[in-house]
Amino acid sequence: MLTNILILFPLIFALLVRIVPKNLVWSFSLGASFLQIIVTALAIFNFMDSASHPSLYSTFPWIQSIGAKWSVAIDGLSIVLVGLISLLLPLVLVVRRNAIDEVHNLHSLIWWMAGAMYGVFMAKDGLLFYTFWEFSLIPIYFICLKWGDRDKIKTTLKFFLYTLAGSLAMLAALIYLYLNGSGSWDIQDLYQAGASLDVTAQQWVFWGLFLAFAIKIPIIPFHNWQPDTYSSAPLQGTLLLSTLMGKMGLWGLLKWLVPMTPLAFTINQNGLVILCVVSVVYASVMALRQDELKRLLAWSSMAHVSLMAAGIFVWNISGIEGAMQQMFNHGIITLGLFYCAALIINKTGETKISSLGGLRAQLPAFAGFFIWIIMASIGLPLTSGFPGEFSLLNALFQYQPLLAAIAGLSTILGAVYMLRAYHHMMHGMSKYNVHDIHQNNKALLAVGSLLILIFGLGPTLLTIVFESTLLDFFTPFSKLQ
Amino acid sequence: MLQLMIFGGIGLLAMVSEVLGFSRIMSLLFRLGTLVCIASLFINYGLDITWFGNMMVEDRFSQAFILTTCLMLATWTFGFGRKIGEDEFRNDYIALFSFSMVGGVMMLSYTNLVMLFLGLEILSIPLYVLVGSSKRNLKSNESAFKYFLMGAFASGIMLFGIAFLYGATGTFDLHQMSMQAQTGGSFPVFFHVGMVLLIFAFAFKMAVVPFHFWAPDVYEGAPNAMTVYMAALVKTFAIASAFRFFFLVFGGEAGIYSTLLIGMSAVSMLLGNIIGAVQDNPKRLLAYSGVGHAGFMLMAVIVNGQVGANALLYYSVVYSLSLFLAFFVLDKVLIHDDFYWSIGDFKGLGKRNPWLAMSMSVALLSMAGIPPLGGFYAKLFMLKAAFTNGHYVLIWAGLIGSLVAMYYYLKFIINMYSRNPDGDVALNLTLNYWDKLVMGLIGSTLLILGLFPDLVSALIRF
Repeated sequence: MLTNILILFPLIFALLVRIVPKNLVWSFSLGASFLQIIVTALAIFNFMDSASHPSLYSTFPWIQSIGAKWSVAIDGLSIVLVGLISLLLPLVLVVRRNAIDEVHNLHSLIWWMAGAMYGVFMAKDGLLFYTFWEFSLIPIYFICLKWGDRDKIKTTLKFFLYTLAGSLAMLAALIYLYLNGSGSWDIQDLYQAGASLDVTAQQWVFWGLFLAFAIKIPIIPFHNWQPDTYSSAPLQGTLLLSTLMGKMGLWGLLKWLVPMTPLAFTINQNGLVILCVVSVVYASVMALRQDELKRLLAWSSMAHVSLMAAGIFVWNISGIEGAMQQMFNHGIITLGLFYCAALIINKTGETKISSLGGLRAQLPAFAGFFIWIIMASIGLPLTSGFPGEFSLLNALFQYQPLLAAIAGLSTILGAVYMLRAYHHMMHGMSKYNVHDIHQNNKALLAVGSLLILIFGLGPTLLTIVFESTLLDFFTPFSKLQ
Repeated sequence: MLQLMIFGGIGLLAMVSEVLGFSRIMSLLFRLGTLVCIASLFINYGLDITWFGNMMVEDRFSQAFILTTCLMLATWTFGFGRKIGEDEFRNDYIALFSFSMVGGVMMLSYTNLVMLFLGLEILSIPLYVLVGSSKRNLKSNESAFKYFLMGAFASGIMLFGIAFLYGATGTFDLHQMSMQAQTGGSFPVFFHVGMVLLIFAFAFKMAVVPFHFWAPDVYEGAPNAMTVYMAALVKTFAIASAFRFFFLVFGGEAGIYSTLLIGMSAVSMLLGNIIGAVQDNPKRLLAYSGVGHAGFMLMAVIVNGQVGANALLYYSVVYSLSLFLAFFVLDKVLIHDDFYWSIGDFKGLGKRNPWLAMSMSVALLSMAGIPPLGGFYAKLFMLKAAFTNGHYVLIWAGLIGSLVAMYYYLKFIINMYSRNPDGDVALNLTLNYWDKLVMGLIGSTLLILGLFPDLVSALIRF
């Protein structure tokens, strides 16, 4: 029951927020998102109480002529991401209170997107998964198109066509799996169907699915849409894309790709891990060369998600655990980073790092939060960026020490570009005369920083939730590596 | 059969209504007649009825298609009937539409090639008139002339093909033809010639490559209400009758002919959409997109059988509804009557009238195949059917075609939502409640059909 509430409430809110009086939109959205947090918390309590609590499953017949079901469930893995959505949603909704026209439309689209993403992480039925997957693409497209900056037309078109190309490949792969199964779209049946295929067929299915997920994450060479889209999208769009939508791709790798086609995966594993590591290094080097703040963050985000993908492809407990932790924490950290970037750009009207400078004197509190979030992004111990990154590198080391060394390079490069950017923007000669940030902004940054601290000090808060589910999920597929 | 009598009767009444002085109630009669057809089909659903000495059989297939086409006709009347009702020649239109429906019903339930030909002619001749019905308009005249010329040739080719088939098999009856085909008797060469000619004639009516050239010109010139009738209903009639032919004669995949059909379908999906991507006139663009969709629907004819029939039924319903919605918006937006329409006319529609912009988006996203709108499940059923029979060429062509199609559907959306309207366009497009009702109903039907595809997709059981 809680599963259905979590998916359907946002979709209902998406309709309701259109008819709420305009000056109440913010309060309505905030209240609704707290309701979602309560429901999520309830789900977590139920889950901790018993992993097979009846409120965490829901199955109804849907399209009987082809055996598709409305089948959603919360397990230990999906609850991490469901929790992430619920946690970030109020933050995404309240950023940039002013200077947005048609606020109710924007909030409606964000709610719509949230509902679809809850669905993606909970779906246990192939067709339902695909439906939610595509369903989440429409609102983000409209958000970027309507409220985006310059170049939005070109970049959104590229974004949409890239992701749709991936989705269509995934659709073909899923249909093929379904037809080779027992006439049901259930994920377990699809696993069996995939495992029963011969190698050639598995390869086709594998690459079809991989394309969709790799574009969404994104991994090299499918990343072309990402920096453009992140930098031209409005703040809310960037936040949704970077903190939540990329995780859909990683979730796909974990749940819908590797267990689906075990043979093809073992054949391709080496290449994929190398591809991901290359992607990490490439993105880090690109980030080094960026002068535009939002693009730098986009590339840095890509480096991090590629490392998570590498962790999943290594396919050992440490890697997946690291990826799960990092998915959650990276969401919070990236939100903080893009929010800081938006504040800077908003205050100074300048997007180039090299032309900024000396902001620390005018924005002392902001500088404190900013450096803390940057530290988390670099992966400093005691911040939430550390434990996940450590597990991921550890997993890579177990797989192939050389690759771990190369990927570890990205941590150093990350420190270089992040700290250099901070140095350029905040230190040195003061070039701007700006007022200190608003109390609301400080509160929001404080919440983010606190979350970073909490999950940095106590990473077990997170691992305790998904550990046993992860073991259950992983054991049947453990011999793949 | 009841449907034949009703539509035929209404057609005849409409012709004499001016003389006998009841022309005012004609449109009401037309609507009532459509509803009676729908009701009668619901009552008789599942009973096989034979007419004209076994030349027409009303089976599950034809009932399902007649039912849905009547429903589509009702929707069409609901959306576009008002405009036609204001025309001074409205009763002539009613007669022509009724007669073309008679032809359509015959094409959906024939078991004899003579009936097929009669149906095709009865369907086509009113259409030639309807296309040119905006008679002071040069483009409308041009398109009527083109359509008539090409259509006459297509009818000729079909007749030629039927003659060859008769020569080879000695019968017009599809069941007997099928028995000869299944006992493995080898046919003379001219049987194949006849088959190819027949396929070409069907292809012309469906507007699949390479017989699609008339479609953009005719769609562009014809009045919107006629265009959408042609694009939605006539296409359904043509494809369903081709389906029926292959189903009755070959009972499934049609051997060597399916290679031909696969080629036409794949090329239609690719070429139609690629050419569509470079169009700027919305009506021509939708015509080319229609070529792509016809290619998609042709998949059902190739796969055939129960799966194909249900996929085709669902696809035609969803596609027709999407087209109704798109053309309803087009009709409101392209108000300047100079034929220099472009996608630029949609600039800033999101600001000028959010209702129209949203309806157009729903229609386009449904045609593009984005869940949870109906169009996605239509494509899903088609792809699944093609996968089952291992036609990977069709899958590739379908997916690539859909991707290209997305590009030009997005062009509309970009213009509507992120560009500002040109200065000289009236900023407000006014809609009355009726318009909003029509758009709201069609749009929500598309959503409901998407959420519950079983409502339509399981109607046919052979």
